[in-house]
Amino acid sequence: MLDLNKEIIILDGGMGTMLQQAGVPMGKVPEALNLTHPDTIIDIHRQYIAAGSDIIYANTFSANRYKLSYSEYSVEEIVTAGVQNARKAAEGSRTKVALDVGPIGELMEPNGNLKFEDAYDMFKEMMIAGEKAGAEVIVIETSTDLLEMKAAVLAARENTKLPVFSTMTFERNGRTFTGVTVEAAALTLTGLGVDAIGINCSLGPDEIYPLAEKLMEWTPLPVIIKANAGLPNLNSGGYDISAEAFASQMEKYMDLGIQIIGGCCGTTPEYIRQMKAMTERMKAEGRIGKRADYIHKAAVCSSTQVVPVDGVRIIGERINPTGKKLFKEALLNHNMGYILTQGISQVEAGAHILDVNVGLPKIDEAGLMVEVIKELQGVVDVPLQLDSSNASVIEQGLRIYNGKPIVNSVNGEDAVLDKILPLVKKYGAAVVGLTLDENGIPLMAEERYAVAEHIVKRAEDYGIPKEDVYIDCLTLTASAQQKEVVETLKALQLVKAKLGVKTVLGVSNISFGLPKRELVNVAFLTLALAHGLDLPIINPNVSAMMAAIDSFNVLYNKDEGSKYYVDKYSRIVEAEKNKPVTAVSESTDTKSLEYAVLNGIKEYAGEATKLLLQEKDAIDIVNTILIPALDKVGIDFESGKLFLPQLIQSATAAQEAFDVLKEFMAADKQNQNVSKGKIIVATVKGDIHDIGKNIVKVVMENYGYEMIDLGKDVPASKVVDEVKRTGAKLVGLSALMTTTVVSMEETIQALRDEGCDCKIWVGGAVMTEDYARQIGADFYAKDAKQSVDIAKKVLG
Amino acid sequence: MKMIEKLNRGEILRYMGYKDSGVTERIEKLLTRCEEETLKIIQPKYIYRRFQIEAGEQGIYVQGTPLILTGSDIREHLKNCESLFLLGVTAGIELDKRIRRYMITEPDVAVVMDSCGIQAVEQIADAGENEIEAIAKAEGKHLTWRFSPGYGDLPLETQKELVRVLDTHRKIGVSLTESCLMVPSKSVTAIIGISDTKRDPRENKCDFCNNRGKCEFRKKGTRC
Repeated sequence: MLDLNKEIIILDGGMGTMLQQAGVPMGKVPEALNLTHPDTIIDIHRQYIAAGSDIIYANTFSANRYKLSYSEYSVEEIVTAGVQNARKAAEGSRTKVALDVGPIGELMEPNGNLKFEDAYDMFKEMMIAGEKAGAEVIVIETSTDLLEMKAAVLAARENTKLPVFSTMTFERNGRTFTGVTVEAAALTLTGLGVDAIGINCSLGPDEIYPLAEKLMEWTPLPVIIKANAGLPNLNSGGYDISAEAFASQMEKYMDLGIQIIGGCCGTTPEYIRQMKAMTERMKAEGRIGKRADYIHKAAVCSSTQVVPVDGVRIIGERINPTGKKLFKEALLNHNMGYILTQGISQVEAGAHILDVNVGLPKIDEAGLMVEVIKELQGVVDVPLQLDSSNASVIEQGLRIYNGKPIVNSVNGEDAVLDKILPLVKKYGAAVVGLTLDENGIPLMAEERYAVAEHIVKRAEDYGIPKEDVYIDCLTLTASAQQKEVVETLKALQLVKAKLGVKTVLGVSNISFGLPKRELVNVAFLTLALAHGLDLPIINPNVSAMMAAIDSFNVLYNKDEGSKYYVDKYSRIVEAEKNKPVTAVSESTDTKSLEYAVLNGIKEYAGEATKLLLQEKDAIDIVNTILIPALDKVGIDFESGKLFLPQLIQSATAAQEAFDVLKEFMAADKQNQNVSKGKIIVATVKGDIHDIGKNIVKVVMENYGYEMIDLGKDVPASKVVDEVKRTGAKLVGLSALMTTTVVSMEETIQALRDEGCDCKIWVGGAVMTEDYARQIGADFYAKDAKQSVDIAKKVLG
Repeated sequence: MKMIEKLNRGEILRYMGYKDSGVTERIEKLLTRCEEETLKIIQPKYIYRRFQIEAGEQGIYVQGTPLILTGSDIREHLKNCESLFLLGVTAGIELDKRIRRYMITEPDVAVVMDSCGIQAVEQIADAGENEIEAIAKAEGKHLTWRFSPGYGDLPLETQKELVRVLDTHRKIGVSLTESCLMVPSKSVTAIIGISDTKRDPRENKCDFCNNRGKCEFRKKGTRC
């Protein structure tokens, strides 16, 4: 077995470099050489073993199904041959053989269109073949996407018994190409239970050093460094430091107590030999450093942002359908735009973490949880809190979450703890523990403390450190249980003082049934913070709540020199002073809304609409002001008097007006409908460039059409299903490239075959009138304006 | 030193179909904001490699690689060349994320940022081309225009081999989807021939571009 307690483990060096030197024909995939030139491969491995490698990496880096799609060999053939060649070379030595697993080579969603499950399957195939062929460790390396790394780690852990090493590739700024930080990688991968974590490729030892220091602060696991031979010259393909220089640059890693070292691109057996000699020398001189004690930190993260819980951290509560009609509708209609807006606006208001709850009766909660997490992580950087009472929803969310999330929640009931805690442990999350159990919420603080103690202990039994357990002492409603309100505060204090864990609390329940709820909420929040609350769950868009937290940070000396406070509030004061006098207030006639739309001034449009509503009804405003104004904009756009951003600005101004009208009518309960009909839009399968489709959607929405946006990379079957579900009479399809027009044609065919009674219009960069007719569309639109004209023709 | 100091506003306006109708103060502000933000968040990167080429039956063989450039346009493009450079360029993934986010909150910003991104990637490609030109100049040689897969009758699928040969996924973080779309979206690849003769100085590339029939820019009355 592999002994990770060994003082120093030496890995091997570059394979590609050696293959180039050997002068073997580089075919489409260098891994095919395992079969065509096994002797060359074995010889390279032997040179590394002779140079002192304790572990050699089999030549299997790119042996995944995607990269081998050009090759005549299967994944299993190449992986098996690769591992066997390495084993053959290692025969008679103590050197271990690693299955080497590189990135798939395609970007994952939401950046690309590789799905988590597909990546997982491709990795799984390699892992199973590698273990079967006799690999003794799995190394997943050169990864730049944390979610892809996660798929690979899960594939290894769920399908093999082998130890897993995981190394990612960072740039000098401490981020990978996809923006993953060293800290986020460390937190996430440590949580996922890999055996060692590290950094490989891209930079030389000197450049990696500061990143390695950071990495060691964020993981207690053994650390791996496999640097390049200096910096690559992108253009000659060479590297800039010699074997001696490499070994000497690696010396300082020994002082740091790093245990596992090797070389990546540009390094050869000579580099490994020199590095090995360096370690022997340092051992003899007693200069191998001892690693600094690891300090556990409470922190969660996305792939791009770590949020340490070392002060008040705000959890936004708005992504939750409870009591919100519009949110419920958005969930039922998969209206991601609405849900994402809720997320983004909370982040802009200062939320550090977002709670995500999508639970509704008779809904595919797990599917929605996955969809919302994916979409949210595509547009915000903050970590998420997965909120569900259903274990399977939590697990499916945990699987595809990119980073280290919070699970909300467990309570003191053993049945719940035994169901959820194993998931929290497996996926390396943090967890909220509610101080209630099968007997309900205990009234007294001491009793709630006892439940908290039980939860923390059970978590530790499962191997979840107490830094990852956040206790919720539960807010009661003052109007119903006034006496016990103070027990929550007492419990908070107890938990904080005696258990030393972080605390979380949903605040706004306190004021149910009281007038001017915000006043009570702010007071309770302030008290809770003073009693030790770390993670308030609030609506960050309520500025009084944020102000309470900002003030608390000043008063408790957490906001040093009141810097944050002064900066934020002096800017607010400034903005209030400079608030423009709205043009609208000068005239209340119909012209002002028209003016706002024509000039794309969304700040005025809402106000103007409100004023108009005092004298006109909603439908009238739509028909006599909004639509004519938009039509004029459309004509000016067509004639070149206005250009695209202006068209969009006018559309968003109209959007403001529509929002006001919708709200008004919802309140009025007349339930009159301003919708001029449903329209489905989608960017077809295989295509991920959706800006054109989005523009069309924004503009059409503001003509009063109800837009159902299926997103990008949409399979034909989904379009068919949605047309059937919604009864939409008009479908818009977009495709950017000739390669994806094929999917467009297939989608049209599918709609016709299924007998869907709808008209179809198409658009996109390569589309033309002729082309559209050829693939069976009813209409072609060259831009958003023409799309509106088509909608008018079809839907009126 | 930053690779790009400033974006070319005239070009940005052109991509958005602007035709001399006067830029209002509002649009002016929007442009300034988007240009600044784009410059702040892009992660410009390029990579190039030189290869000898040989014209053969199937097309132009890029020596030492499995890459074959097919079609009559690329043959014409490289007719006086013995070698070429492959160039891969990107503005990075953060820009995609930002545009995605603005599309939800402020679509007008998203549209302008998208065009800023196109301008940025053009300039990054220029920076790469400048280095290549210096190399050619030292040998007393000249460059052809940049030619990309999908131009004329050079199949878009050529992209697949091209990104493999340049190892763009590993070196600059650029990969392809199954349909040959580049990710990050603000990325380009190009083929630049090295020849003894000066390149066609014609400004208007459209004259000898086979894509002219279905070109997105020409539809709007502009060019790429």
